[in-house]
Amino acid sequence: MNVESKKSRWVINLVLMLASIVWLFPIFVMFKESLRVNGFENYIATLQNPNFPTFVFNSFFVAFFMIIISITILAFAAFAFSKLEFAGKRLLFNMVLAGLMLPVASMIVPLFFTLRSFDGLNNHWGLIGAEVAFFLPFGLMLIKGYFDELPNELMEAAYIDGATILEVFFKVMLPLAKPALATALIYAFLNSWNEYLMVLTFMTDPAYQTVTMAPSFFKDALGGDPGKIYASLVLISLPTMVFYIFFQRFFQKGMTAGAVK
Amino acid sequence: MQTEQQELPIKPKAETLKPAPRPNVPKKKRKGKMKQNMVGWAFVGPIVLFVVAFIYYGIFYNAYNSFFSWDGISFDKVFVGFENYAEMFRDPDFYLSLKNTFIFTILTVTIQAFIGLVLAYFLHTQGPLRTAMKSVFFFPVVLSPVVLGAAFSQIYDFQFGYINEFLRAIGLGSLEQNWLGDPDIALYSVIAINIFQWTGSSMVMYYMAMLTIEKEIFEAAKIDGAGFFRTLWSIVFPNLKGTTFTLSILGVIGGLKTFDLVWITTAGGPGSSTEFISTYLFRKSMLQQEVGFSSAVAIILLTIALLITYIQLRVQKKMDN
Repeated sequence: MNVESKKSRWVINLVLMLASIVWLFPIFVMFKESLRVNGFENYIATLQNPNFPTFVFNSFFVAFFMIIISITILAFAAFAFSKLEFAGKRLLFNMVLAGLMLPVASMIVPLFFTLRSFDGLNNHWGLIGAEVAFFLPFGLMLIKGYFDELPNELMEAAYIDGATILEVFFKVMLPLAKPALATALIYAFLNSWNEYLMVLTFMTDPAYQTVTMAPSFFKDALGGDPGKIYASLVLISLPTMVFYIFFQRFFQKGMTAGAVK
Repeated sequence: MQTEQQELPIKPKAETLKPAPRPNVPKKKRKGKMKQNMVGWAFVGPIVLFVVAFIYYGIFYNAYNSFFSWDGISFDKVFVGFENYAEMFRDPDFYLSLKNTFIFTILTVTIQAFIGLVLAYFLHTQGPLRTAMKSVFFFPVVLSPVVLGAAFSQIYDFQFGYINEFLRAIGLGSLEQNWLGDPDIALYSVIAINIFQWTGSSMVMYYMAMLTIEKEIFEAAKIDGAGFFRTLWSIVFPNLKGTTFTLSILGVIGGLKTFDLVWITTAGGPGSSTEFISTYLFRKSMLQQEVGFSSAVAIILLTIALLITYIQLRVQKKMDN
């Protein structure tokens, strides 16, 4: 590219290096603080606190079923919105997509009462349902966009061979859509794992709370011992960090897929 | 063969996407149409059901409640007409939360786009370490705002914070600030965290978009003698208008949605100096039990979100043409 001199290349590298250091600094701070005073003892103390495994279990439980339900609903819906013709298609699609703009904060009161009437407060399934509903619009945009790119020929050939619509869906289209489903899965996990406001509002009992409530819980329970609070922060970030390291390309793909629309 | 294909509930070719209405279709074919509809509805039924039950029902529920004075607990709901809206427009904290959300959005969108663009451009020209650096800048996107908020609280701390200690160490102790405790500064400190978290996503989007600009354009710029930054400003940036627009929309939505980060770092304080529209809503509804009132706020928030969607669609249409 048009970087003429060695000097300007050097400047660019320097800026990038400095920026990288700035970007790594808060993560470094988190690790450093987590080792304060007692070193790794902080991690052991956090893990041994009987509430910590509960938070982690709740998070995995909620995320697992949130993903299963979302992806199942999304696979059918994205395929239909992309490849089938039916009355009211545009209207229904726009109706779902409009949910993208909606701040959760504007919905906490109605959601609170809806969940209460289904006994969904302090109940994993209530949280799962709400998280699914708020993930669906983004997920639909992501997966439908991918289906739109897939050619129709394969599907038509299958029909001519006498395949039913369900066979076409499960045997032809779904395998092709795997990358989009994987991207959606990762974003679903991220959304669920990092969800804060809904847990804060709907799960008032620590027995049902997820990991995002752990830091403030430990602030009260551990007498505000910062080392242990930071240890809990590192621990609750580990799953997303591991996910990120292994599935990076899906993350960045999802980012741009969201940009197309 | 022909009829068989007609009955297939698929979209065969682009031209036949919207079949012209044919009033006198034979009965058999109309039956096929009905079957086609049933199949489609069955496939999209669950998603529509979820969205209606959790989102659309909520909107109507908010609209209805906004005309009542209600604490959310007792049975007496008193109809007050537009009183909640009137009260909201008299409340200085409401305006403050709008203003803070606005400042947050404007600063986040512009600074994040600028840094993201420059980083992407630099990385684009850079060979080694490109992938590793991209990962570093994108990394905060996957972290919870809870985690980042806590880490930055440590960095911003007045007594032991990294920034103030650094300033003292280099003899600029007079510049130390109570980053999250000073009502004049706290908002900007929170904005900085948000920019830190999301710049990586702007960078990735600009970077991906840059890959679609043809090499010849860069070559031509070089031949014309355009310098490094000149190329960025007059060639790259104008070519990425679409990305910039998308980022702006995402930023505005993000601003309206921001809750976690503020709640963790300042909880809207000190005073109401970092109150956002979402924290204001949460405080009124969940902490002060003014459910009727908060529903009115929710309706205003929804109206703003709707307006932005409308503008987005209009601009997008213009840009596509």
